Amino acid sequence: MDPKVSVTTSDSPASPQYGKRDTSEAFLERGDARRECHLDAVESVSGIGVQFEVTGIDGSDAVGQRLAASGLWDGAVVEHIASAPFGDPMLFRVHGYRLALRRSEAARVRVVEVR
Amino acid sequence: MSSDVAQVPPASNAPKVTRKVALFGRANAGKTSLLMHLTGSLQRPVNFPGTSVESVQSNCVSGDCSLEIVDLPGVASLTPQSRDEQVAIDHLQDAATRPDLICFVLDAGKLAVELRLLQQLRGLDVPIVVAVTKVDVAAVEGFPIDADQLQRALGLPLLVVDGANGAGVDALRTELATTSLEAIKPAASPAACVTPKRAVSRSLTDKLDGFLLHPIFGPLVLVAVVLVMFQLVFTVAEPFMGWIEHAQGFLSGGIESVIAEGAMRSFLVDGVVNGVGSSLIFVPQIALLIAFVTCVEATGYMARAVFLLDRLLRRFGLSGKSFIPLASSFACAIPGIAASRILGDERDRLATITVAPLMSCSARLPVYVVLLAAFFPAYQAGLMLFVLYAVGIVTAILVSLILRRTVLKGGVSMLAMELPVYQRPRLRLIGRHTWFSVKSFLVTAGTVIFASTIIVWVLAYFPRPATISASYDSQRAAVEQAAPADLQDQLAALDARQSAAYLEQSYLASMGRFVQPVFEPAGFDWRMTVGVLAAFPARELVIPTLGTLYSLGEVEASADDPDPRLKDALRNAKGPDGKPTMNGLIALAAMVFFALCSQCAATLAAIRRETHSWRWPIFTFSYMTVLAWLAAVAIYQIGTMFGFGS
Repeated sequence: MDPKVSVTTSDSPASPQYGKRDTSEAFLERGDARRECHLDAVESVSGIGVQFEVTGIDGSDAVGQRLAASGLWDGAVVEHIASAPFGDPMLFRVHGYRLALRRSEAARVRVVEVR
Repeated sequence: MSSDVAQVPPASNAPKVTRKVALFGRANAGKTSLLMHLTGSLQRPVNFPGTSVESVQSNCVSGDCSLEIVDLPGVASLTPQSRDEQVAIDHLQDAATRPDLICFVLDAGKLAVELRLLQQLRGLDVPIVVAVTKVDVAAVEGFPIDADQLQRALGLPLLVVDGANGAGVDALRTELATTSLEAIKPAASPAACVTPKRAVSRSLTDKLDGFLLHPIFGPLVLVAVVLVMFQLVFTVAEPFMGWIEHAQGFLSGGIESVIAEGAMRSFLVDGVVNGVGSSLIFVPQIALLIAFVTCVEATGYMARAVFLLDRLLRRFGLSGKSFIPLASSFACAIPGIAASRILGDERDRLATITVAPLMSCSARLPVYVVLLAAFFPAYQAGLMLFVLYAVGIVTAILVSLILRRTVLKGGVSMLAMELPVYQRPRLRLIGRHTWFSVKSFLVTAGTVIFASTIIVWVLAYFPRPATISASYDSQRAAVEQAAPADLQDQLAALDARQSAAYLEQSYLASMGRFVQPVFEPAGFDWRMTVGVLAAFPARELVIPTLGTLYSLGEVEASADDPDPRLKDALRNAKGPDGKPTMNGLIALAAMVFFALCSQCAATLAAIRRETHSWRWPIFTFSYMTVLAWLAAVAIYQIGTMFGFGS
């Protein structure tokens, strides 16, 4: 994995910027001890325009394959740039183009914040 | 062609070799407009992912090589996830269709994703020529590419082309014709060519999206765009329609002054000029509507509409992507049904196809325009038109909801789509596309509509029993002998009554009266019933049919307006009891009937083609026709109850 990404332990206390979302739901416990969340939770983690790095996709069904073919493979850098009214779907920039994903699709993508 | 393979081509400049070339790339990479520039043929180059839904073949010659170029549907990876992608990948792998050469269309705007696909494509062991498009977009977005460096890294022939103006296409054509067909060399590491950091912080598209995707302004702009579309159709088309109407009147007058009264004159004036003219008059509106939808697609805004509407449409059992087929269906349901292939999920697709014909297509517009102009004041017409479109949309929502809870339950719906960079629409391309659509309408008008108009005229003109002409001749003689002051008026009134008498006993009237009980509860008289019946093969026939019926039976046409237009004829038409046969309420019932009814054989054929079964076209026809009848009856009965019908 990329050593430049800052490492935060998963047991650090929840900070207020996580908003209303339950921390245990927003973050996953991973073996590499980096703080990982799903792409649909990025706005509760940080604001618009923060870059995230893809660490994996849940499931290898049609949706999972489509997400990978759209450029969301491991190591790809994703930036949340907008949301439709009521927060769904969401718009991301990946590899220089704009990709619209439903919340349910974004929830399949695991990311860590790029610091 | 000759079966003798050894035969020398007869002409010295004829191409010696033929190469099968497949244009391959992701959706929206610019394949279709590239094909247009390569071969000069017209495709539909639009700025929305997945528009080239059919693989179209086109040929061109370069030097002594003839290129057979196939435009394949857009593909995201070599593992197909939709019918479209399956078509493209099968084409590359099937021994019968396997191309000699792949022209990989690479969108410079998303280089990293493209390179991954190109890497997969190399595994097929077919020679590849790379055509790089949208280099300008990549630069504007802050990820400029270095084509020379990329070519060295890839080890493949690579050319930069411009899909908008065709720059670089001649060089690409030559390359496709002359490049070596030997096995391709392994690549170096093209990933190094990807610009790692964005060179601009906020591009024009980012700024526009900040407004157009804004939670409040975004939906407002979307509503405004839709309203502008309807307003445009009504106001801007008006003067053009006036010109066509004048030309029609001029032509009728010319014929009437040259040819004596009789079957021939009636055939030319009432059958040919009125019949064809009443469909030609809607060419300006159809052209405007198609030009507008194409223009919105070409700017890149259509994908934003999908983004804004996805959540809403999903509640109705559709997908945001359904907006494209449904919006296209406002022009014509047939391209709309074909465009539904961009929907990955089969159930989403079937639901969209089934409700697409409920969108009021441009062929329904003539009916609305005539009836609205005849029975509603101008200030209400625009609003009423909006209501009629809304009736179709609301019905579509309800039908879709029911379908998704019954026969089309479940399924995996996906959005995952690109929002392209905003572009200035190319007027030339929009103009060419609009002309293409208008031409196909004119061909329909010139063949099917013309032939059907003549059949309707024959049925409405014959028989001509001698008893009627004898009776009216004696009446005319009596009037002339009395020689009252208003002699001309009385003679004109007699003429009108005579043609009405003919029409009342025509074959068409007998047919209309036979079926009329079915439409009696909706308030339709036999003429409207005939219009409805004649429209089942194609709803373009409604207005020509009504035009023929009402101009043949100018019931008590006023003397000061000897050539009443259809709307006046509709308004003034009276039944045998002297009461008007049409009023605002019946007009509304009729318009809603036409809004909901499935009256287009070509649409049903398109559904059959797209669903590979008769089940869906039969279902679509049945539910629409039943709904249309129920709605028309409900409007007339409830309206009458509240006293609107008198």
